[in-house]
Amino acid sequence: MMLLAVAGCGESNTPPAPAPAPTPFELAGKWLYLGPSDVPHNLTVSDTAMDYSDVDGHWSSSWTLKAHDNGAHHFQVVFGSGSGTYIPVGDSMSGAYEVDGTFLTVQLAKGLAAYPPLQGPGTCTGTADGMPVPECRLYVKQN
Amino acid sequence: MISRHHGRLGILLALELAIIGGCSVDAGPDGGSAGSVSSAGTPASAGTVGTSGSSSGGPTTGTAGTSPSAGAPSGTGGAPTAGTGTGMGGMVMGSAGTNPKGGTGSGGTSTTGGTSGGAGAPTAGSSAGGTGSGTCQKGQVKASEVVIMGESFYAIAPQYNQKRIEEDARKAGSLGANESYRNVAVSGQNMNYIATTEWTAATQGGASVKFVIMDGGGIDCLQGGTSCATCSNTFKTLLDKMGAAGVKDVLYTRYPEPGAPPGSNASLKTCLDNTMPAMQTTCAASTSPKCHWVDLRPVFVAGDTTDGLHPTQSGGEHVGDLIWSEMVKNCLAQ
Repeated sequence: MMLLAVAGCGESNTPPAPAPAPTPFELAGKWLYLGPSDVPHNLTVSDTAMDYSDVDGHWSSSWTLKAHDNGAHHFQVVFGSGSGTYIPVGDSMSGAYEVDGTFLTVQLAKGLAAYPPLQGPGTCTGTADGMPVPECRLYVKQN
Repeated sequence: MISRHHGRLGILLALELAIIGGCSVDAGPDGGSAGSVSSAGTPASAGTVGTSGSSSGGPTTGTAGTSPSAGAPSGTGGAPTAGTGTGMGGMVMGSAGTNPKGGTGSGGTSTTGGTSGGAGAPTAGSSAGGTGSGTCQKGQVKASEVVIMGESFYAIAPQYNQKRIEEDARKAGSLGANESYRNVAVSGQNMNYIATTEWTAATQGGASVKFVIMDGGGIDCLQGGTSCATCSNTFKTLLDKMGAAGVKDVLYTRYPEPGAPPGSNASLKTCLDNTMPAMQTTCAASTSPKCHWVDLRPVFVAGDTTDGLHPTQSGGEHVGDLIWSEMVKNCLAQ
């Protein structure tokens, strides 16, 4: 009690400094899917969300951006809502990405435990067999 | 459904007319006048059959066929018959045909207009890839020897372009029910990747390749800039490699106008417009393999793409039908 009282005496009435604004996510913007294995769709990224939407409007999914790191090229998202036969599927996702000019390569993995390895910028097919790498998607920046 | 049904009938009619035109006229010493290839203002109507050229006298110059296009994208032009009897059916690209018997049949012009799709210009005179007799022998190329290369335009699911070509081929009896062409296209890859990694994949294990359907250069343009300066040289290098490996024919498809609606992506359009002429020149100069240039712009109409780059089902149908018509015309993988 004594300690609390002492601590309380030292408080000022000035409000605490606001938390620093989150760093803008470098992927913010609209991206068009190029391949390799899903149907054409758009990926819209903001500082707080990632939204996938079918170009024909048949499905969509919205994800809340939980964390991002522009330096490490990582992000984490939590599922918000979906309609139709949407992608990706899961409760939460960890992602690794690379931006090369106007192209974005994203490798997703389920859960928030670890970030998946990214094969390489601009590459979502296996080097040995040429088969699409699961949960790897290639996009191009839209105007 | 009705218009599509009519469209299919129109294609069949046009193809039949082309075959008739290509085989029935006796070779004469002169260049015949290419028939007018008018394409149809309504879906599916074929153009008229051109008249054959005169068969006497010295070399004459054939008159050009015209092919104003209008109507539905699936409408194909009619079949001109030229003096040598190997005039081909309508196609989108106007190209002057030469008459190996002496005369020169001048090609028609191809303009686009109407509400959709293009019709064709005639090629008078020579047969390109077909046999000299005007017949086309089937079964000369295996399905596995037909390779599709490029990027997402051919790779992206559900591969509408390839599906349509294969549907057409099966209907014509040129592809078995369980057969498929080999698609080594990889999304997002530039011309250099296509010319190296994809070509390596196409020939892996000593696989035989006789006929290639491809595009390339679009990703180079998407990477920025107003043109791809290296694309045509890379393309030439690839063609040389293909020729050395025994590829007989390459069908390069010039990209549709980018954007939705087509043409609305101004920056990409500028780059493609600046890059494609040199690619076309390279294609035209290649004799081994023979390179066939197919311009997809006239058949790719509003509704054929939603994202501005990739075909919808209707886009795949229009692209596939045009490619197949070129394959029929030139006796490729029949």
